[in-house]
Amino acid sequence: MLSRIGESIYWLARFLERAKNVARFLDVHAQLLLEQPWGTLGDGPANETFLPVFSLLGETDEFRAAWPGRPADRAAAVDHLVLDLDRPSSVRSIVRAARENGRAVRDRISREMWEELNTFHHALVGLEAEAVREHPHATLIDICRRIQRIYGVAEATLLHDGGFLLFRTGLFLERAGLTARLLRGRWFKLQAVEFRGLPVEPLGAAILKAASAFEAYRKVHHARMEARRVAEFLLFEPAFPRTVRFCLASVDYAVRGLRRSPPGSSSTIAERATGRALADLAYAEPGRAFKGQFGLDDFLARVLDHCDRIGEAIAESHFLHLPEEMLVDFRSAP
Amino acid sequence: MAARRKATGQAQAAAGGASPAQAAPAAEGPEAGGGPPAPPATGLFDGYDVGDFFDEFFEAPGRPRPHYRLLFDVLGSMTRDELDGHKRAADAAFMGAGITFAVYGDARAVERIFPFDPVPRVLSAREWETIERGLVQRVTALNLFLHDIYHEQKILRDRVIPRPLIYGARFFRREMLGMDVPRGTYIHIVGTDLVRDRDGRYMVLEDNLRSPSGVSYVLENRQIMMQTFPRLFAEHRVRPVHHYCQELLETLKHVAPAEAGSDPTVVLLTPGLYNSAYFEHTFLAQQMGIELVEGSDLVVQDLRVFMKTIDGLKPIDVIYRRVDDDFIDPLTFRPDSLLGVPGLINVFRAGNVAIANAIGTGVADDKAIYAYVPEIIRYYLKEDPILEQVPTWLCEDPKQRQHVLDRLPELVVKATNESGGYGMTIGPHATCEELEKTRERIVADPRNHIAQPTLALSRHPTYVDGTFAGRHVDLRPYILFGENPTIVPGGLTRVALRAGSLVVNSSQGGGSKDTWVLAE
Repeated sequence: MLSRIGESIYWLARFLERAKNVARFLDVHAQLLLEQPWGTLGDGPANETFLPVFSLLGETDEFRAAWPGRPADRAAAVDHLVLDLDRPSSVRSIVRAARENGRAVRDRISREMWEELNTFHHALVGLEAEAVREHPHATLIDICRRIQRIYGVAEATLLHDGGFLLFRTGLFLERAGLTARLLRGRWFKLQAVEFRGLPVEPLGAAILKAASAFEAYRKVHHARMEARRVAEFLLFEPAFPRTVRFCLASVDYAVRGLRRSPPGSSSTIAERATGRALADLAYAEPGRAFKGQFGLDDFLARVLDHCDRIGEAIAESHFLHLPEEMLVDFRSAP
Repeated sequence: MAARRKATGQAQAAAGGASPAQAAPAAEGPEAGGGPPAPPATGLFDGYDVGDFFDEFFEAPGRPRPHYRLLFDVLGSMTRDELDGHKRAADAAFMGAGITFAVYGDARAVERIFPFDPVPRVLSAREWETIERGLVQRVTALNLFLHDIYHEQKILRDRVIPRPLIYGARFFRREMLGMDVPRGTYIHIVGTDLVRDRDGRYMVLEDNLRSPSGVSYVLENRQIMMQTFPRLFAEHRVRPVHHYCQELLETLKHVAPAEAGSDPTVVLLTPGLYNSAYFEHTFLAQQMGIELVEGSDLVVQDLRVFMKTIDGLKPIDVIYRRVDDDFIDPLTFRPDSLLGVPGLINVFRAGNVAIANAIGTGVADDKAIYAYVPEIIRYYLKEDPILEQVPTWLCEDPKQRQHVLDRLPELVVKATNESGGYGMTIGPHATCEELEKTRERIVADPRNHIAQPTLALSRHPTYVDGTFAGRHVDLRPYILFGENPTIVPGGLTRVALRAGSLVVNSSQGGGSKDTWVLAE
């Protein structure tokens, strides 16, 4: 498979996963505001109710620059993060980018998959802005469902060759990063709630729901919710497909599949990068994630660093074809 | 009839003969209103006017030629509703399959189908046999000519062709001098445009030796015709065309370097998504099961060319390129090209990759050199040409130039370094102002202008507005010049759908027909 084709499929998956997470983060946050009204935890300016979502997506500066003086409320979040086609970070733009990548390889993905993607894009273009601002929930849920449907169609109709492995690579790498970002964005608040003796729910539940992990968490942990258990679950649970560990293991598996490398060996810098990241998570000493100077934040920064390095290594190993002397090997994570 | 189009963008300009486009010159004769009264005809053929032209279908009003007789009965017995239904089904099949070309200059990049006419053009076995022999003869001679021009240049030393004509040709490539190409083949894929004059004689109008396009329509037209009119195929013995892609792949594999072994890696190099013939590129690549690559997918290292795959660099043996010479290697030709592969020509020169068609073949389809093709055939093959061609005056020659300038309103003047209908003036259709401009251009640059008599192109019944009407047609067969020259029977028949129009160009109201060659 040509690198250009493989790269388009990889980015198609990354963009879809990103769009889905943006939609879900927004939806869950809106629900949380109903259960735990803004300000009860000393959250910040009364009209900036959606600031946490901007912040965990790393979009705060972008938003301030794009809409000077506008408060970060629900309508602003819907505009900036869902509707605005001039903002690359809006769901509409991200899906358009996914569809452009799909269009470039439409003869290499299945017709069913292309049509799902294409009709999804057209449906988003046709959204009524005012209606979405008023009642975002229906639209946001629909976005998540349609993306999940594309995943299902991809799984069921694509040839499971290198292109499919790159689809999985893109999807799980993006998801690993977003789960880590979610946790990092909310961890201090969650700890503060617990420290003050307040119930960890509903914030803990909201964080889990933002990763579609609430029900899975409940099945594993029956005791009263604790901040550390929530964090550990999202990081390390080996059997749930949204945890950082599960995602990185999936990336590692897909990347190895590209070269059919047996476990315990590595033939590309991509395999070395995923192997190191996975070792860091799968073989961490219990409690180690919480032991840095800033506790979990240090560990999450390191996880995100792993994700970046894996992305670069995949590009170098499979897409860019730089001459050997220009390749950077990541000896070990800091 | 404005046959000039603006070149829009590098990608389009870079594709050789990007769309099935060729404007054919001809005189517009008076529609014959008089003549003997027509015997009663059938159904939709009622009132069909053969005009003062050679009609492909009828030898006389109401009397079909022998190889059209069966078709006449079947089509004549159809009602307008039936035929409308079939036409709609065919159009929907083209749209659904995405067999479309992009129309430039429209921000929304509208996609249109190349209009398809449901009345097939039929060639008898005997007619085709002559055309086939004539084309093989012509292509064989042109290939020998190219080899000679880029090696000993015997034909120049023997003064059959004046040396300045070659060295002044726009597509003559000095880089190719003294270089051997695999198996001595320069022109692997050729599309030759044939027209018929008022007497029905087939004449070569133009050779397309760079990268002729349109063959995908030959294959798709047949597919859709068979789906839409199965009955016609049950009643005729039409020679198949479906093996074209297999033959094309064999032709390409034949020129692979010997080291490549029995399963060489062949790719199709496209200028990309925005090229008007992109559909054809994807179609051919898919049908042959080879990779469709863009310039940026290829890289040269150590005198080999590789494609970048997700498994690393994979060496390539043969490139079927649909990118023009000018754009194929920025280190050798245009340095601003983003469509090519830096260093590719060095690999070609080292014999480590075959390129089809070879570089520099455009010197042999130059419109001034066209005038010498009958001589070229006699010189290399010691045979007389089987197919005639259109008489051509070279403006470079003072006597011929004077003749041309004296008769400008009757002639077609063409710029030699243009194709696809660019730079053409059709005397009988031109205004005084246009003629004056043409005269100035000829005087300023005689080498690059030729003139030909205005031809009365043959016509063919075509389904227009619910009835059959005569429309001008041409024919482009595709010749694969491999181990054994192969021509899929027939080719692309293009038809000028507008009444009286001679322009068969797809962007100017041209359409196409399925083209049948009947088995003996």
